[in-house]
Order: sequence, then C-alpha cells, then structure tokens
Amino acid sequence: MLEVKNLSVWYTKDRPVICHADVTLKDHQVVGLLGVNGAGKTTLINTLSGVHTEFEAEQILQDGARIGFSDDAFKRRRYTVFTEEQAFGYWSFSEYKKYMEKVYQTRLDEQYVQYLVEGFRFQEYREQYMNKLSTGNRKKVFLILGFALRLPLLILDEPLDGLDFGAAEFLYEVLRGHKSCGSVLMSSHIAESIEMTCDEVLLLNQGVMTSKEIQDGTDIRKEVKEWLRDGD
Amino acid sequence: MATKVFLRDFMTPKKIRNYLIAVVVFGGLIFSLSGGGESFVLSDSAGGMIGIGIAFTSTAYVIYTYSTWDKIRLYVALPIGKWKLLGGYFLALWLCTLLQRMSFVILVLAVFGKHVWENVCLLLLSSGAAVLINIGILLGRNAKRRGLVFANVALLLLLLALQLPCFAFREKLLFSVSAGLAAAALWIPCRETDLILRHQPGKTACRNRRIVNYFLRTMLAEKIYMVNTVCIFAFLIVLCIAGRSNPIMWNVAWCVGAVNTPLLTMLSADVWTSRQIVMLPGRNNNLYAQYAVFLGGYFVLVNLALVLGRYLIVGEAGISDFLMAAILAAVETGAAVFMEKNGRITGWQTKQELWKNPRKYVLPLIIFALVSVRYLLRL
Repeated sequence: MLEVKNLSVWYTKDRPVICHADVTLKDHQVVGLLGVNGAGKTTLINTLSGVHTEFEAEQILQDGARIGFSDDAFKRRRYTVFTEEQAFGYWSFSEYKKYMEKVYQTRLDEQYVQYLVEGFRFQEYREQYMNKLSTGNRKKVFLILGFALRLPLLILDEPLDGLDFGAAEFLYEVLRGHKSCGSVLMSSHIAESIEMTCDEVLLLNQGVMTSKEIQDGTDIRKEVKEWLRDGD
Repeated sequence: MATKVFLRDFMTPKKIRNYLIAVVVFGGLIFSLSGGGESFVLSDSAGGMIGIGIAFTSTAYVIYTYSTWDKIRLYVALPIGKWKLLGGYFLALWLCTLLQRMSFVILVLAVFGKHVWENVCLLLLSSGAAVLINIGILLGRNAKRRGLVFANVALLLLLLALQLPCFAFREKLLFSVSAGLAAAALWIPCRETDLILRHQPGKTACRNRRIVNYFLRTMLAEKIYMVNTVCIFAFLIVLCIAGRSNPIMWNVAWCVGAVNTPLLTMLSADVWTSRQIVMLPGRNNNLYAQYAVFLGGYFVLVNLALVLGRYLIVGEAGISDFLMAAILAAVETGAAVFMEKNGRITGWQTKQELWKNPRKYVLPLIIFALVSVRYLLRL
C-alpha cells in the first residue's frame, strides 16, 4: 500500500528524530506504531500526513506509483486523526461531515455513519459545536469520520486517548472491520490495543525503525520489552 | 514561583533580549531625533494617563485571550495558594507590560516630558493599578458578579479622572496607590470561585447556526474580533472627521481598515484548523475560499464606509472613489489570504503577540503605496 525508503525526519537537521527508516504498510492490515515517549511516533505521523515537512526520503511509493506526502493524489487516499484535535470548534459533527464529503468528493454511507455514531454513543452530540464537546467526544468526531470515509489508508495517533471503556472496545471492533477497505497505521501506548487489532508492529527506538509480525497469542508486553532491549 | 509560571507563558529569554535591543535602538533614535530642542513637550499629567491607558488596553487583550486557555486550569490545580497565584499572575502581567510597553513610554517621557521622575513614578504606579483593575474585571465576570465588574470599571474611570492636571503630583501618586489597593480589595469577594483565572468563552456561538461561512461564525462568536472591528470603524470615523481635506489623513484612513490584525490572522491563531487544512486534500478544500469571501466582505464594508464618510464630510465622492474602494478591497483580500496561506505566523505564545507580529504592517504599507500613487497621479 505504502512504501517509504530511507526516511529521515528532523527538527534540526544535525539531530534527526528518525534516521534512514524504511516504512512499509501492506494492504488491508492494521499496523501498530510503538515507541517510548519522545521516540518520534507523532513526528512520523505528522510527516506522513504532510504536516511536518522537514524530512527526506529516497523513495515514496503508493501502490507502486511515486508520490509525495503533500501530493493531493496521496492526500485524497488517506485521512489522519491526530492525538489532540481542537479544529473547527464552531462546527458541529454534521457540518464537519458535510465538509469532509466536499473535500473528499464522496457521499458517506449514512447507514455506516449511523452505526459508528451509535457504537461510539455519540448520538446526542451530533449537532453540538465541537468546542463545547469533551476531549473524548471531540476525538470521536474525527474517528467516526475517519472510518466513515473508508479510505485506503487511515492514520491514527493515539486513538484511545480520551475514550471511555465502551468506546475503546468499539474502536477495536471497527479497526478490525476496517481492514476490508484499507490499511490502518495506529500509534498506541496501550498494549491491549496492539494485541487486539494489529497484524504488524513498527517499533521506533532511538530513531531506528524495525518491523515485527504479530502472531496469534503473542504476549505483546513481553515482546515489546524484549524489542526495546534489543534496540538498546 | 507563581510569577515564573505565568512569565514563561508570556516571555522567553530570546524575546526579552529582543525587547531590550528594541528599547536601546528606540532610545537612540528618539534622542537623536529630538536634537535637544523643546519642540514638543508632554504635559504633566501625561505619565499617569498614558500608564493607565496603555496598561489597561494591552493587558485586557492578554487577559481575555490567555485566560481561555486550558492550561490555566492546570495552574489553578497547582499546590499554590489562590492569593499567591493571583499575585503571581498580576506581577507577570505587570512585568510584561513594563518591558513591552512602558519601557518605550518611559523613554518618550524622558525625552519629551518636563518632570521626568514624577511622570515615570506615576506611570509605574498607575499602570500597576490598571492591571489590578483589569484582573478584577475578569474575576468579577468569572464569579458572575456584575456589581464587582461595575465597581472595577468605576474605579478605572475615577483613576483616569484623578490624573487630570488640576491635581498635584503627590495627590495623583496617592490616588494611584489607593486605586491599586482598592482594586486588590475588590478581588476578595471572588476568592472562593474555582474559576479564579479562567474566563469562560461566551455561549453566544449556538445562535449563529444559519451562518455558513466558518470565519464569519467565529467572528460573531468571539467578542474580541467584534470589539476590534467596531474600534476600527470608530477610528475611521474619527480620521474622516479629522482628515477633511488633508490627503495624507485620507491615505492613512484607507490603511486603517487593513490593520484589523485579529481578522487577518484568524488561521494563524487557530493552529488546529490550520493543521487540518494542510492535512486534508487541497483541490476541493474551500476553506481558503471561505476566508477570502469573509475578508472580502469586511474590506468592501470598510472601504465603502470610508467613501461614504468622504461624501458626508468633504462632500466629494465620485465613481473613481468607488472604483478605488473596490480595487483596494480586492488587493487587500488577495494579499491577506496569500499571507495566511504562505506565511502563517507560528511560534507565538499569546494572541497579543500574534497580533503584534510585524507582518501586520505589510498590508497597510501596500495600501498606502497604492493610494499614494493615485494621489500623485492626480497632482
């Protein structure tokens, strides 16, 4: 789905956050992004989302075609839910949904939207301004629309932050279901979320990226400890 | 400690250094320009009046915008006594005002004032009192006690009136200290509120659902945009009346509408929405178009108001003036959107700092150049 070769990302060029990393996201997979605080997970997600532009890569391919992270063609095929989001505070969920339909030139499946809204228990907040919503409910706005767009690539930065127990359980269900229409790259600090949803894990440690397959029955807590130790 | 907490939000060592350099440069400039002559002398009451005026207006912006930030909630939760926290907030605001504003005014007083030390003393004390009153208004509003808000406003007006030349320096000094103490005493009824520093944004937003344009809706929901725009229109009226047949004043008036910095930096101010615009596909993303429509409407209104003012006051407004208004509105809109699209202001700590960014002078300079060309062609 997405192949990035030799990616380096920095804020100051002499101190790169990510060094010569290869990122490969296969079709119809949920890929977890793991790393300790400050490892560069959000920076990587911001780079893939076209928000952080201080990077260089030898090659970026989407389905075999060369692309750039800021290219419209790539943007139209992916959506990012950032960890902290307060955009469009004076719009409601319904208004943001209309705007998304316009931006992505698509008509969202109302039934699926309704399923997501009910699953996340968001019905009563649909018409409220987003700046009046709690952190968790605001997050749900972007998660619901991210899934409803059914794009080939969905990028989620700490999607569990702020979600209640029921919403987290529903998120796992939707994440697994989303594989039928595309891939997901998800950063998370919660081992359970990786264990329950991911097919593969990208481990970011001291600027170096390694990829690990997740087998059924893997004890992710133990594995992560070992991976981090190996990285050191 | 509490002062440090707030100062870190208002200042960085780099900014302090830059301000100090600016003060030195400004001092050098006005000393050299004054030439030791006495062509212009400030009146004796200037120190107090200027201190109150500048300290009140500049901190009002900071208080209004800064106090809506979520981090204030974290500060209130810190194990610091409420009085210490409030005192720290006051000191941080006052120190910032002294460095960012008063330092320049002190230099002006030193060069153009008669009783320098007296004026500087008055400036410092009255500005402190004004900051205390400003915080008092915020606390009164948070505690939903209108009486306290009115009491603080009355205190401010009284403080201003007592700075008139008919009072002696010592009296003015005493008034300023008393006003400061009275303002601090007015904080006492609000000490129990949990919203001690946090200002809740108005709930007017839900009334504007029929407005499709996101920026117009934001403007109507956030009072600061409206207040600033109304002030600009008021200033335009003053300029129209003062300008009459003075072409330079009219040229300046054309530029005034272009310095509505809060409106011209709405995207820079909303870092979250700006990030979404960058993240989302651009081809069908009409947010810049919405912003252009919104700004275009504003500029058309301002420029038409000016042509109307010219017609009512000077009695001359022809097709060329309407044409000028339209051309300027188009240029202003295009340039403002271009700057927000390609040169968004980042790295600001408070909204006031964002609005003070030197980028605010670019558009008025373009407009001044354009209207000056027209004036020169007429000659």
